[in-house]
Amino acid sequence: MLSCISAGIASLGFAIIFNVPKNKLLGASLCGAIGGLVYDIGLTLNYSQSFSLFIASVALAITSEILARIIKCPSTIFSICALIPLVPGGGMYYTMLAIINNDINEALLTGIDTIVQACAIVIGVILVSSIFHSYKKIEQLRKGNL
Amino acid sequence: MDGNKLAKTITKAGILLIENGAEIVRVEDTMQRIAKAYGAKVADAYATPTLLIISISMPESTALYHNIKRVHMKNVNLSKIDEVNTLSRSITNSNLSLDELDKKLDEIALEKNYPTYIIILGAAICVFGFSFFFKGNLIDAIFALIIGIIVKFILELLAKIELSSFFNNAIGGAIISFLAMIFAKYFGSNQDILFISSIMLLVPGLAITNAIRDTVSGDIVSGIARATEAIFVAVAIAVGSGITLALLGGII
Repeated sequence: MLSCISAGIASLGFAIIFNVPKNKLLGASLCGAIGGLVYDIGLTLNYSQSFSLFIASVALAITSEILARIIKCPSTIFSICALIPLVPGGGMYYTMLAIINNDINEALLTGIDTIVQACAIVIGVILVSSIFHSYKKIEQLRKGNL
Repeated sequence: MDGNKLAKTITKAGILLIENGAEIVRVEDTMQRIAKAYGAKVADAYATPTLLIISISMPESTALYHNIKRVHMKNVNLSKIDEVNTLSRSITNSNLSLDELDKKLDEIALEKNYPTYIIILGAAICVFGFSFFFKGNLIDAIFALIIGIIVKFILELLAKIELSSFFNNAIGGAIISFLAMIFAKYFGSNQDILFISSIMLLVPGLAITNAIRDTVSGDIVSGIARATEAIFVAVAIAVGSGITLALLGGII
């Protein structure tokens, strides 16, 4: 619950930094909160960190696509701000720390882990946005055929 | 319809999108949509984070009109992306003339970002949230908030003197790790949490996202360009904070 609220707050902050229009700030915050919530649920269900990040980003992407349909604006406005709390900043820090301490094995381990996590997040979002895009195309095709 | 003028207006829209951090598919789609809306027969748009090419032909003549523009990436401003996107979709419905579109694009380009103190406030809120997200307590959060305000303030100052972004990020990383060390040593806060939550202000989240997104949708050149950008931002942060940690690790 705490990570849900805190991810929401963090996304709100990033939405301000990225100049999201005032009436859409709360939407970005909501997407971030859902991302944080699902990530936490994934971790308590003992999923691996990368997989938790993946389902979290799928959840926040679905929310942002739905919000984008309702408010009529690009979904990236919400999804980008909401993604940032999930970006593995901690992994980057520990990788760097290991490099400074000349511990190359540790650096490689955490570094690759970090890259996998970053990819998991983005692939989740892209998956959802491609599905929504294809769905729109299918709808158009169906209307064209009728 | 004047093809030259159309080509110029289309590039204007494309530049606005790239400068403010839109993904390449959106940029190319928007440019083609505008061209088609004004009756261009052939409309090819090619965009990368640094270069923009448009080539159109009008139905009344056989001539091709081109425009090539060098683009420099600037601050991320998602609201401008939103506005250009909405504007380009509304052309056919609202019978917008080319002159009006041109004027509206100029207006969007001149729109101001949020004032600096709001941006700094945003950074503070953001870092405050992060420190709870990374399982910190209230004391950590308050120290992180102070770091966030200081770092964002300095970064805004550095942006004014147009230092290269590599050194901007290196200095940001250095300040964050320095302050995190001080707060951890003398005020009993958790150094790792302080560092991780405030480093999120610098982490190239948008660049990573756009890099993978561009690559997946087939814009490989842009994908590589943005991945390189992301890697070097990460390296810059690591250099800045690494030097500070190594230098002061023995002293503080």
